[in-house]
Amino acid sequence: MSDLVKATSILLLIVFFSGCEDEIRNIAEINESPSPDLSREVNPLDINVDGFDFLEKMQGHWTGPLRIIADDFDWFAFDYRAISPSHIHGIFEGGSAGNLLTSFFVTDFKNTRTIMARNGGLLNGIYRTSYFVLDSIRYDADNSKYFRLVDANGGAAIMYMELRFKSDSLYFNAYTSRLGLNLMPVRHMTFRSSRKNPELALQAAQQLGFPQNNSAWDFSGGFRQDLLYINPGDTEPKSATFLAQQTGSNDVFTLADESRDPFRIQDHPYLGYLTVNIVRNTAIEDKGWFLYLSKEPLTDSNGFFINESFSSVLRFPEIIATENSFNFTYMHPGEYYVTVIADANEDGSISAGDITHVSQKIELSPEQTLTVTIDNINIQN
Amino acid sequence: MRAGFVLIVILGISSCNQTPNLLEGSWSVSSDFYKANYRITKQGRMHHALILMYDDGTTRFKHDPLNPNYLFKSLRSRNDGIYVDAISGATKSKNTQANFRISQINIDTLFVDQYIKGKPISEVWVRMKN
Repeated sequence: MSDLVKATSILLLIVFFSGCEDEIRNIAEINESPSPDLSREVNPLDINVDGFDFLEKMQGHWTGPLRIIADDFDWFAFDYRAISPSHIHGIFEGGSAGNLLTSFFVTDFKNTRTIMARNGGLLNGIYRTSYFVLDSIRYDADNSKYFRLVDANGGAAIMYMELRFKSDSLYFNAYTSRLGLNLMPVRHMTFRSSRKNPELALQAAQQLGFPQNNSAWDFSGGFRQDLLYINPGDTEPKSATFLAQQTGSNDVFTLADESRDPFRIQDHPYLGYLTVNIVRNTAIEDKGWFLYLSKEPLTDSNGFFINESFSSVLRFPEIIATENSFNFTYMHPGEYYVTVIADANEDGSISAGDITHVSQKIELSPEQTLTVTIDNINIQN
Repeated sequence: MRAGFVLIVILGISSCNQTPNLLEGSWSVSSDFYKANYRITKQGRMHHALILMYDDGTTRFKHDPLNPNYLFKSLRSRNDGIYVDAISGATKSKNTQANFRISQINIDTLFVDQYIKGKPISEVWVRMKN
């Protein structure tokens, strides 16, 4: 047998066995996907031409599954209602961890009448507000309409959100690059939802004369670059973002000032505040609790939980065991049922053994600050 | 002597084929968040997943032969029946997490983990019938 054959056989063996290794190292890391236009350019869409209908489409109590990065939630909700003739607002109130809001409003930006979004909140001790601007629309063959809003400073290269409406369905995806720290945005949130309880938004729209093509907040002068958040190590801002870090007991109002956010919570018309206090008894002394605001009562007249009413939940914060009070901000005025469910068995969800009370009806007026106390959490389910 | 080397080579080949390659074909996935169809082919030692259709509610497209898109292009078989994709190429990198990890449930079903920031999103892919 020749040396050539021998060498070839050995080479083949090496090739074959190397294909069986446990720890594969591959430098390709190819993960191609359809590439949207991720330009740093920000070109507002003129809603005098098209796109003004976004505000009307956005109205509703949107419920459905939600994915945040790799965490899935079977059910989630955003309650979008008008808060002025040209501004619509919705928020997720997470409870002890914080909240996340996105509102949409008519404005003038870069000499264009357009729609902007204000997205952010106070989450895990960080106050952040980012501004987006409508830059594109698409009509799909199934009679649905797509809208994209991009970072108002860095464009889609920094972050963007996409919303597509088809009848009473909303498909909402958001992409972020950690304010430009990453090379390009990746999917951050996916929310697939359907519209419920349209009468809630309809009532607000009728009261406010919504929607109107009037500027809700003036951004015609753009953003002052010296006020925007700058990533560590950078010399100029990448995103239209205002940011402040909670260091002690500073509340959302103080943090808004510290962040130099131009459009602060107190600048929002029509919205109110609701504080819910609970009085603990021995059965729930050291238990976390779920707090629900809903359109329908979540319990029967005896205080037992009614599962069928859960689809009417509008806000659903979770409160840790050491807290006895929760303050809802950015509250749409109207009627609500307040229900506290103490997580007696500490399984992190509503289940048999948890302790409730008869849902309590409240009514919040525009710009009202209301406090309620629930002191009868004693019905074990 | 020659026969011995041939035998060794055959053994080498057979040891790499403990798991039959059942990945090739067209696959469908449907979750709460998106729908997609993929076609897996083997190119050398790598498996490619061509995206035939994708719809996550806002990004919606069908395969365009002039502009093909791939979910992955570097899926490789381990010797335990698992396929993994895109282990970090930087040999000194601390990131040795696969982007995809695929195992066969049966000839028509795959169990797919896609890792996002180290956390898996698990899916079941079903073979599409032609």
